[in-house]
Amino acid sequence: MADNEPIYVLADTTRECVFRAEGLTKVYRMGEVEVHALRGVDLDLYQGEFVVMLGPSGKRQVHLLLNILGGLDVPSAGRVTYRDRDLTGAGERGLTEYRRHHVGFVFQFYNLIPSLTARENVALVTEIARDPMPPEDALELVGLSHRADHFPAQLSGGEQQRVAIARAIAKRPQVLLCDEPTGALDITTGVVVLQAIERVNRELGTTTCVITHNAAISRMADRVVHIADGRIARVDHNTAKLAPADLQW
Amino acid sequence: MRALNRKLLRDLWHMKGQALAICLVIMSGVALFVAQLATLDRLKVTQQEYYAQYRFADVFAACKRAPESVAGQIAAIEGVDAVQTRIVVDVTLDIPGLDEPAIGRLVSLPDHGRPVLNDVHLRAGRWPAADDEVLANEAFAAARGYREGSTISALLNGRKRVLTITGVGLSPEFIYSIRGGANPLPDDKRFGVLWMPRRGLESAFDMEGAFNNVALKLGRGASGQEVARRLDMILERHGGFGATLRANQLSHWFLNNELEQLSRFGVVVPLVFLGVAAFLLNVVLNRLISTQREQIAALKAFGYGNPAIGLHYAKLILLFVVIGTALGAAVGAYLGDALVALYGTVYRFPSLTFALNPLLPLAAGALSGAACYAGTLKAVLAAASLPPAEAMRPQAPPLYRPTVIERLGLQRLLSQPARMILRNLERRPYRALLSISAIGMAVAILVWGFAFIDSIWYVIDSQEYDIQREDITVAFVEPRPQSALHAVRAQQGVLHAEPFRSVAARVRFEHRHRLTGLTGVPRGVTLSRVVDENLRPVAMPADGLVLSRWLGRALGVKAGDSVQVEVLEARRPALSVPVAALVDDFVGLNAYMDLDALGRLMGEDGVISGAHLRVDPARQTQLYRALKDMPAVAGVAVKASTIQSMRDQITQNLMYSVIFNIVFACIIAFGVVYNNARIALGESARELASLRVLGLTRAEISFILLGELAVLTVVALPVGCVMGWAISVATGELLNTEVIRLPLKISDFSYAFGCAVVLAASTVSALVVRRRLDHLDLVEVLKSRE
Repeated sequence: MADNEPIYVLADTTRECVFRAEGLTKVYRMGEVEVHALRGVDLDLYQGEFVVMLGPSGKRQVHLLLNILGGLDVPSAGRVTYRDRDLTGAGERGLTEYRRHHVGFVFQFYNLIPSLTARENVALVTEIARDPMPPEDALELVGLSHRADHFPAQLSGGEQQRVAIARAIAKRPQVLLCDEPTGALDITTGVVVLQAIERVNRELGTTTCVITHNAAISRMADRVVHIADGRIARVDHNTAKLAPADLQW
Repeated sequence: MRALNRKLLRDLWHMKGQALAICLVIMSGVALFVAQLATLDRLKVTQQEYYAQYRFADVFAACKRAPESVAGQIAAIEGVDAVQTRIVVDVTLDIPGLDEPAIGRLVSLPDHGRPVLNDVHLRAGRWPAADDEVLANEAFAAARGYREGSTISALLNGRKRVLTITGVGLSPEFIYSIRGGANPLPDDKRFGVLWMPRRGLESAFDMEGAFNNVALKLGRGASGQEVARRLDMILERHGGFGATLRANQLSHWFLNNELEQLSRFGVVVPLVFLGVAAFLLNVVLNRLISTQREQIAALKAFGYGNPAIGLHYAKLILLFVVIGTALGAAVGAYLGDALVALYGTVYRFPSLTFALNPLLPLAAGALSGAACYAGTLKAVLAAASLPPAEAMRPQAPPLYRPTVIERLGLQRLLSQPARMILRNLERRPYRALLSISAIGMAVAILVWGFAFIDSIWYVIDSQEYDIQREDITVAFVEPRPQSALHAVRAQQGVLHAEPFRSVAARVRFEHRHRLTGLTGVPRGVTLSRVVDENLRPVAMPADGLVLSRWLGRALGVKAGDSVQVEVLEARRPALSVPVAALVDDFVGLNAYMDLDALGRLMGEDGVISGAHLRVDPARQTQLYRALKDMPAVAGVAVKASTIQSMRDQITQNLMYSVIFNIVFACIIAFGVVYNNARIALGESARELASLRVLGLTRAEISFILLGELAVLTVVALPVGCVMGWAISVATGELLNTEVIRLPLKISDFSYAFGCAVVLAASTVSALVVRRRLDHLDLVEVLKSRE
C-alpha cells in the first residue's frame, strides 16, 4: 500500500467507540530541528478490543500517539475524544482527572515505588480511585497474591511488571495503555506478563492498547496498527488470535 | 581547560541552587569567624598600643587624704617604676535641660607637664590652664554636645562653680567609661570624666600638698600582689580604700571581658555553621556520585586512575570551600568594619580602625576546608575506589522494610504516601538525624540569641521592679547622722525615705580577699531590697553577713563560715563576722548586713551614707533642683532614667545581633531544607512522575516529596528548642562574671519566634523546590531509566 493513499479504517458499528483520533499531528523541536512525528493520524479504538500498535524500532512516533491517548501530551493539531470527552482541550486538571479515573498505565520499566510493597503499590492507586477492586484481587489477577508483601527489590523483573499491571487495572480503568510492557524482559517472563494483560482484557473487558516494536506480539491482538513515517501505514485484523504462550520471538 | 575540569564547572553550574545554599552556609561561618576575630585582633592591638603610648598604670589606689611626701615612700616600694599621685572626686553636675543631676568625676592633671601615668589624649581644643577649666571625656562631650567654650556648673565641696570646657580628651583609664555601682553600662549623658588642673582641685577640696588617689607603674617582673600589699600598708594611715590591680580596673576589666567573649564565640559559632556545611556537602556529594556512576565507569574505562577520580570530586569540594570562603571573607570584612565601628562607640580609643589581617581569611579557609573535607572524605574515597564494572550497572535498588509503626501493627493509620515518607526516613536514619540536628541548629541559634536578651531583660526588670524599688537614691558627701534623713524627708515631693549605710571593705577568707561594698540594710526595708534568685526578699539576720554567691565563690566561703571584714573607712574596724547566707544577686560582688548591726560593727550610732526615696512624680523636678543644691548631697541617681538609658543602649546594641541571628538561622534552614528537597526530588522524580501518570495530582505528589521534610522540620523544632536551651545553659555560665550574672530565662515568645522563623524559612525553601514539580516531564519516565 502506497504511503500517500488515504487510509480507510473500517468503522465497526457493532461496538462502542472509546477513542476517536482525527487528524492528529505532533511536531516537536529537537535542538535546532523540527521533527514531524505524527502527520495526520485518524484512528478509532473500540470497547473491549485488544490493539497492538507496531512502530518502527528506535522511533518515538508510536509512543507519542500513546502519550496523547493517555492524556500525557497534547497534539499539535487535530482532535482526540475519549467517549464524549475532548482530551485536546481538557487542560492540566482535566487530564489528571482523566488519568486518575479512566486510564491504566503500564510502563516499560515498571516504575514501581521502591519504598512500597506490591500490595501498597497497588493500594496507592486504589486509594484515589472511585470504584477500585481490592488490591489483593488485582494481584490475584496477575498471579502474585503470594508476593503481595514483598518490596520491589525482592521481586524479579517479570513480577515487578505484573505488579505494575495489577496497579494499572485495580481501578477498573476503561482503557489499559501499555508502553512496551515486555521491552525489558526475556521471552519467558514476557509471556507471563502478556498473559496477565490478555486475561485483564478478556475477563474485565478493558480496552487494551499495547505498543511495541516486537512484531511477534501483534499476533495476540484483535487489531494491529502499523505506524510508519508518522502515519498509520496499515491496519490488520487477526482472524485467529494466538494465546501468549504460543507466541515466538 | 581540561575536559574533566570543565565537567566540574558544569556540574557545579547544574546544581547552582544547592551550591548557593551551601556556599551561603560556609560564607556565614567564615564571615562570623573573620568579622569577630579581626575585630578582636584590632581591639587587642589598639588596646596594647594605647596602653603603652599613654602609660596606663598597673596598680590603682584611693585614700582619704595623704600628704604628697607619701609619694616618695610609695616610689620606694620594690618593683615600682613610676608613681602618679592625683586628686579624684565625684561631684554633682547641674546640667541645663537635665533636671536630674549628673555625676562628674574630676581627675587632676599635673600643674606642669603631662601625667606620668594614665596620660590624656587631647582629641580637640587645648589643655586647661586656669583653675576652672576642664577637659571633658569624649563620650560625655558627644552625648551632651559639648564643645570648646561650653560651660558646666558643678557643686564643688558645697560651692557651686562654673567650669569651662577647653577641649575633649580620652584616657586609657576610661576606655569604657562607667562610674561603677549597679549599672554595668556607660551612661554618657549622666556620667562624665573632667580633667582639671590639680591646683584648682586642691583649692576647691582643701587638698593642698595632698592627694587621694595614686596610680603606679610596675617594673619588669614585679609582683603586683606584693606591691599592692605594701601600698595598702602605706596608705592604711591615710584612709586607704585598698589597692586595685590593673586586672580589676573597671574599664580594663570590661574591655578584657569583651575580648574574651569575642575570642570564644568567634571560633565556636563559626564551627556550628561549618558543621552544617559539612553535612550538606556530604549529602549532596553522595547524591552526585550516585547519579554519576556510569560516568565514573566510563572515565575509568578510558584509563583515568582512582586518584584522578578522587581528585576530581575533591576539587569540586575545593570549589565550594574557595567560593564560600571568598564570599565569607568579603562579608566578614564588611561586618568586621561595622562591628569595629560599633565597638568604637562604646569603647573609646584615640583611633580604632578596621584592618583585615590576610592570615584570617586563610585560617578561615583552612578551617572550612577541614570541615568540608571531613564531611565528604568517605564519599570521595568511595567514588575513587568504585570498580568500573560495578559502576556500569545501575545501583542496586534501595531496600525498604516496614517501619516500626507498621511492625507495631498500626499501618492501618497510614496512607500509602505516609508509608513512603516514613520508610524513606527510616531507610536513612543518620541523614534524617543530621537533618533534624541541622534544622534544629537554626532554631537553636535563634533561641540562644533570644535567651541572652530575655535574661538581660529579666535582670533589668528585676532591678526595676523587685530590687531597686526606689525612685531616686541620694548619696551624702560624708556619712551623716540620722538627722540628715529627716532633712531629706522634709523636702517637698518626698513620699518615703529609707536610709542606707555603705562602706568600702575588704573581705578576707583564708588567703583569698576581695574589695567590696558593705551595705547596711534597715529592718523592714521596702525600697532597695536584697532578693534571692526567685526575687523573694531576703531578710537580714540580726548579726552576720549576706554575701553575693559569686563573692562567696571567689572567697571559697559557704554559709556558716566566718570571714574577716576590714572596713576601709572611718575607724577602720576589722572583725570576724559569720556569713549567714549566700544570695544569687545579679550585679557586682556585694556584702549586706542589718543596718544596726553594721552600725555596731563600725562603732557608730545611727550614721547613714544616703537614702533611697520614693517621690511624688508631680514634684520631682523641683525635688531634683533642691537636692542638687544641698551641699551634703554628693550625688543623686534617678532610677528611671538610669534604667531607661540601659534599656535604650541594650535595644540599640542587640538590634543588630537579632537581625543577624535571624539572617543566619534562615541561611541554615534554607541550606538544609532546600538541599534536602532538591535531593529528594532528584531521587524520586521518576517515582513522582510515574504517580502523576497514574493520576495523582500535584498536591498529592507534593505531599509525598515535602511530607518527609515537613516531618523532619516538625521534629526539628522542639529538638532545636532543647538544643537552644542546652547551648544557653552551657554558654550562660561563660557570660557570668563577678560584674554581672544573667540567670537563664527563656520566654515562650523566644521559643515560638525561633520556631516560627525556621518554619517560615523551611516552608519558603520547600515551596521553591515544589515549583519544580509543575515541570516534571511525565513523558520522560515512560522512556527510560534514570
